[in-house]
Amino acid sequence: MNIRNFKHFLGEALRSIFKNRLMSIASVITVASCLLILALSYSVISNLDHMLSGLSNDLELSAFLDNDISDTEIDAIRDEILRIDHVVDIHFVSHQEAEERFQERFGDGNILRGLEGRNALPRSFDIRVNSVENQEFVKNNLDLLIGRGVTDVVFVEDVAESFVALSRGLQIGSITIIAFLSAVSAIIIMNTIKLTVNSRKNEINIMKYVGATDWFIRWPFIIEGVLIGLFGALLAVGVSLIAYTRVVGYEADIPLINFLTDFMPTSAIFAFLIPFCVLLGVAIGVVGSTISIRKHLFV
Amino acid sequence: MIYLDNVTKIYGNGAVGVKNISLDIKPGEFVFIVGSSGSGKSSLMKLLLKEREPTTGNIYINNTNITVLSHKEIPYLRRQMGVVFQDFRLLPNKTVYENVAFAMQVIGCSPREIRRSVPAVLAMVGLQRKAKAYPNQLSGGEQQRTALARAIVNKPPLLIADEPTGNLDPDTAWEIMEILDDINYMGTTIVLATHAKEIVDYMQKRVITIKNGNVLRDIEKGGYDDEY
Ligand SMILES: Nc1ncnc2c1ncn2[C@@H]1O[C@H](COP(=O)(O)OP(=O)(O)OP(=O)(O)O)[C@@H](O)[C@H]1O
Ligand SMILES: [Mg+2]
Repeated sequence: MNIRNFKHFLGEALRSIFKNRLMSIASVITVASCLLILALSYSVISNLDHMLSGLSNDLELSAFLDNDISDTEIDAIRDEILRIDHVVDIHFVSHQEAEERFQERFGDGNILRGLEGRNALPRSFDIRVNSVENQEFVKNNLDLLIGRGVTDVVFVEDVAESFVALSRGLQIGSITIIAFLSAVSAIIIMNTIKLTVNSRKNEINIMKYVGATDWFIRWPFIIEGVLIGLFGALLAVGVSLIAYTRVVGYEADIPLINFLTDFMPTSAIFAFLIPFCVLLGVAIGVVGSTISIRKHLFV
Repeated sequence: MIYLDNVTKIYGNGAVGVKNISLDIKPGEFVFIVGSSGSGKSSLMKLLLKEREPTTGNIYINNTNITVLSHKEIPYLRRQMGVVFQDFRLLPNKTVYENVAFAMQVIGCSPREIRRSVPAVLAMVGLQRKAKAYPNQLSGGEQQRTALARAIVNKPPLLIADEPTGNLDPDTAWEIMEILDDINYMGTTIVLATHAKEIVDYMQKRVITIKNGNVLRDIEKGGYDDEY
């Protein structure tokens, strides 16, 4: 394809986009919505993964202790816990350490300032188990201690596991949605370009008779599809970029869920999203236009 | 130029297009194809344009067996033949000039070649003063002359015309025939299907009469056959 032909193709494509502008805008918006959902699911999934990798260090059990028991009683409980099979490590968390952890995790934010004079945070044991399969067994044994100095046994893994399941579910769900929406967008583009193809049926027919090659006939339609896909992609990237920066910007303002707002940087997310959206948008355009022109070439 | 070797075209519904036709048309000839409605004239034209494939037999154009050409090669075959139809097939949103230039653009001619060739060919068909007119501002004869200009602007060695005067009154039909005769005189081979008895009788060219898809007669310098 030389420059002269390219100018011709581009001119033809722009002309028909403008001529069918309502359909063109509708297709751009459809593609953009599809890619926007893709951008949204990708951001949510990668952030969930990111937060998970922070949580996985905490894959252990916590046994919270009654505030009223003495140090001797605590030592006895420690011995009992160590006697449970599969326990490899135990760590005592004092009132002070609990307080520090709390500060670290939730920040010494303004909300907590109003809570001066509250009860001290409970002491606890962090208990490490040799492998994941045995955690259930250890927890059952720890549960026997409830009422005898232990108030509660928490499976940190519960949280983690449901996060994993959630993330996986989201992944499968969003891949399905993305596949579906890509197909829908391709069909919408197909119909838009069919309008052009139909309004130019005679032209195509004459082109065939005077000896235009298939590619010469095809290019303007492909470029039209590519442009629609590209505009859709740029729209989606623009909107999601603004939205993501906004959300990440809230971080400092919500102390209680600080650990949940450990967002991935905008640049990391969009280093993937921009090329991916653009490529997918263009691909949708090419597929849509190729299909809609195909049957008109066999004259 | 054109050589048909026992060509048969049967359509999917069993209708006979052409049957066992063998023909030899030499370069520079002017050939009328006549026959009643449904006799197979258009079918023959479509086979020559490779718009349809023969059921059996082979068609040679310029010593190339076009029946074995791939889909990709068709455009290059079509560049060797101009084509005109009864219904002109002009693009309504383009001027006379643009309609003719279009045929050059789509095969990749440069703007310079186009600027040089189009006015010359418009002059040849007598439309130089209508270059800026749109098809709906033209008479039928002028529209057909535009289509003729478009068909020959790339200087094809062969011109195929399927009832080019079918929509025109007799006087206008004569104008078109005169232009076709000029085109033929400059060396272009012409194959023309028609019902126009008077024209065929007057022109004294080769006449091939077909009936039910068969060649009924093939006469040098013949007239329209009344009894077919
Ligand atoms: N696409 C097609 N499918 C099925 N049958 C067809 C097709 N085209 C033509 N035919 C049949 O082939 C036969 C020859 O038709 P053709 O159009 O070649 O005739 P013709 O000589 O051009 O007639 P006319 O003078 O009316 O234009 C007819 O019986 C017609 O019905
Ligand atoms: Mg016919």
